[in-house]
Amino acid sequence: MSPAPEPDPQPTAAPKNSAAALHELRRNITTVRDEQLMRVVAAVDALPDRGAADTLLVMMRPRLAQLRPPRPLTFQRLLLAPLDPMILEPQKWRRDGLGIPRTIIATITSQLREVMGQEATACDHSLVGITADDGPQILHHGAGLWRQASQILPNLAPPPDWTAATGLGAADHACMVRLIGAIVAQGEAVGNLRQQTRHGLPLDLQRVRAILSTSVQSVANHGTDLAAQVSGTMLCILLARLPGADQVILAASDMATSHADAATRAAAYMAIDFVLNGLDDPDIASLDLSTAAAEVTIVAGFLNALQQLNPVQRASRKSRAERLRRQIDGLCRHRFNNELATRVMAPIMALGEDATDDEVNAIEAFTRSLRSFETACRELAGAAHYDTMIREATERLTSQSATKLPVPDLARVIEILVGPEAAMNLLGRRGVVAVC
Amino acid sequence: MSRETLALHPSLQPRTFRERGLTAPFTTPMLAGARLRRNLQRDVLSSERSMTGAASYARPASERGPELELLVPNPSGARGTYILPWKDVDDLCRPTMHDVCLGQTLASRLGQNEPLTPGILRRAARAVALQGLAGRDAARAAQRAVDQEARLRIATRMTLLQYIFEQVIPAAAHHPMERDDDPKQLEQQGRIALEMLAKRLGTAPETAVERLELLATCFVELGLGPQIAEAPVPCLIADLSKVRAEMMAWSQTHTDSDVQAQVGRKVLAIATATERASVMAQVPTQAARNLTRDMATLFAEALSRPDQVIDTCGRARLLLDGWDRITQLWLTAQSDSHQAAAISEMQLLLPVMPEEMETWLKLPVGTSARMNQRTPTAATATPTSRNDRIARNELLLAKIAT
Repeated sequence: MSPAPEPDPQPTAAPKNSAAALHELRRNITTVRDEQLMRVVAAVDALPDRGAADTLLVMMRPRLAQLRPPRPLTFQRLLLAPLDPMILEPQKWRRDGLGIPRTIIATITSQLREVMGQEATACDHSLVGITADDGPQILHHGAGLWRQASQILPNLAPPPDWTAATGLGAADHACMVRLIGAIVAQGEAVGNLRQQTRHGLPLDLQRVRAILSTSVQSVANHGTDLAAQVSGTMLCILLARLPGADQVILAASDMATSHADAATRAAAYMAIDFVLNGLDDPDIASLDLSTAAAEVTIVAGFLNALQQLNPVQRASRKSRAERLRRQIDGLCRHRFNNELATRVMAPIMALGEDATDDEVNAIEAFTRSLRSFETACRELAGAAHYDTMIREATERLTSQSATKLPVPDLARVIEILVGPEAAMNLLGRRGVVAVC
Repeated sequence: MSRETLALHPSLQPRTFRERGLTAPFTTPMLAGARLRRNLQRDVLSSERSMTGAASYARPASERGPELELLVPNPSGARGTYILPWKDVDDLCRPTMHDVCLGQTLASRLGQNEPLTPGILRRAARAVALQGLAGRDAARAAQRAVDQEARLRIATRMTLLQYIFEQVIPAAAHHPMERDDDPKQLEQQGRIALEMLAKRLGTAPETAVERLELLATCFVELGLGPQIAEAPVPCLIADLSKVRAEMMAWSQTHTDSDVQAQVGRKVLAIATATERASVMAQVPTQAARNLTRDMATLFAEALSRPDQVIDTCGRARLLLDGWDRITQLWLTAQSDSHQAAAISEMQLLLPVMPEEMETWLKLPVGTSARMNQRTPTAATATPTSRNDRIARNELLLAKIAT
């Protein structure tokens, strides 16, 4: 007998916004299935005044980051879209680090809205029906807002409730509004660059250099620390948003080595160190595989590029990069071995001739993700370990009694893992595919 | 043969559809849009060699190897077409298990002098897909396609019998066969009319039945009467219209930047080609359907010149060859970035038109050459892995099969 279906959380509970309904929702929200969570998010997003309901989503943020449900594009999301990869949870943000803490977003957005007045309301209306994953619409509506915000933000003073709301001081406010202003000022340029690469055009390094240089210059009068934070944040955004991390980092290095201005040069060097600091605690183990693969690709590109940097390189930075490479490589190998054993080999061994389409499709999809992850990992420290693991796995799978999975299904997994030659060998040995 | 020695033809301008070949449902990323054809005869080859400079044809006939040749357009985004024997495909790329089996199956099924037709290619592709070599979804889709074709074929045959009944028995025009009547009775009425027609044409009833089956096979793709809504050719023509409309709407909302303007130009080129393909395919489709207005003459043709009837009914499919993949690229693109990527890929896959279409459609000489003129297209960056691209191609294959 199949288990009774889980009761769906009632999306209607959230709009009532009553304390009891919110309490019930909070209780349910940690255990809900993905599709239920998507409905909760849609219900909260539909509230005219989200209030306390918004806090419900905070605890679900890691799952939301994986599920990426379509969210309505709001004024706040549009304003901060250029900073998106660098909006950090408060516990991960450091005063001398990169990015901005999530806790300041509401206050600074509210300040900007106040200055913009009717224009902000008009912007709200123009965003109705657009989702936050619609890149071209974000670029279309954002260009004007980002230009305007970059002019207004650096001149804002901290509001009276700043410290109470954020736990930060007045000096932090000055830094944050300048940093956000400098980054959103380049929002359109980064968006266009991203679109170019998504349309298959090669990365325009001239533009990368111009973006980095302009963002640093815009805060050059406010000290090298802020300049370094801005350039480091921008560098991380470019690394997250554009393909070819190695090229981006080399562009930053070019800027550092060619710029006559000592402050700018120092900022670029510091930016590289900032990024290196950010790699200290790589989250390879818990990210979903495709995100982990993307992360490893960026990290490998970054570390490989750092090896080429001269004279930017200091011995200490070089040895630190190598230490990081070994550390991340170890994490990658461990994750790969574990996933291969538990989510590829074990399910295949357990499946029989009556395996369902969903079961087989799920194994194939996961094996593809694992191969993508492994391909990214090879860039860190070579292929030998992965080749050995895959060869051993293939030998086990193709031995006569390893699995009762139908041969074409098994051959497809082998094809994904190793390649078509091994799959054809299996078909030939088992002699099951008459058409060939 | 190494990859360096593969012949890259800068601008292939085929004269006939046979020379152009047929697109095969390959799943190997590099073989997207690749065509297969039978090894052309020496006389054709010698003139083609002077036209394209294909050095590989210089080998003696005995060494030419398999019958099948592979034509790969725009390899890695570059302009031009690679032409090579199918057996040498490994020199060009690493074909998937599905594609290797498809090539082998096709080569083994082709008769000595049998032309490679869309029907033969389709049946071979379905046989391979049914084995599960392109995944379970593609296998299920292939089974659905086989079932659907069998059902449509029976229905088309019944429609043809109905036409014969109404045209051969004059009174029947006033009391047409009703589709919801007892099928056995319909079949019986139709058989009587068919026998009368056979007698009038001076042929045996068995031969008439055989020709009825031939005609049902010919028209199953085009659709007749109530089957038009489900038949593959009209469905593909409808998809072309849908894709064109959606792409034009998409381009209207993507006009902000220089990049989008560039993409807009690609969209316009694809939309124009899409509309042209749709219009061109409708001409032979309607012309073939018009033949059924005079079933006696059509039957006489099917008896005396069956190849001619097959040719007439097969033209729309050949004109649309390659478009099912192009339309599905757009229709399966679910997000803006996927649509943007699809546009680049679609442009690379736009089919080359052979000169023969000018005769078919009574178009001025040189039309095909003008249609084949392309703006150079930059290679598209493909950030996804080979496995992901194969999975995407398998998804397309499943969609195309249905």
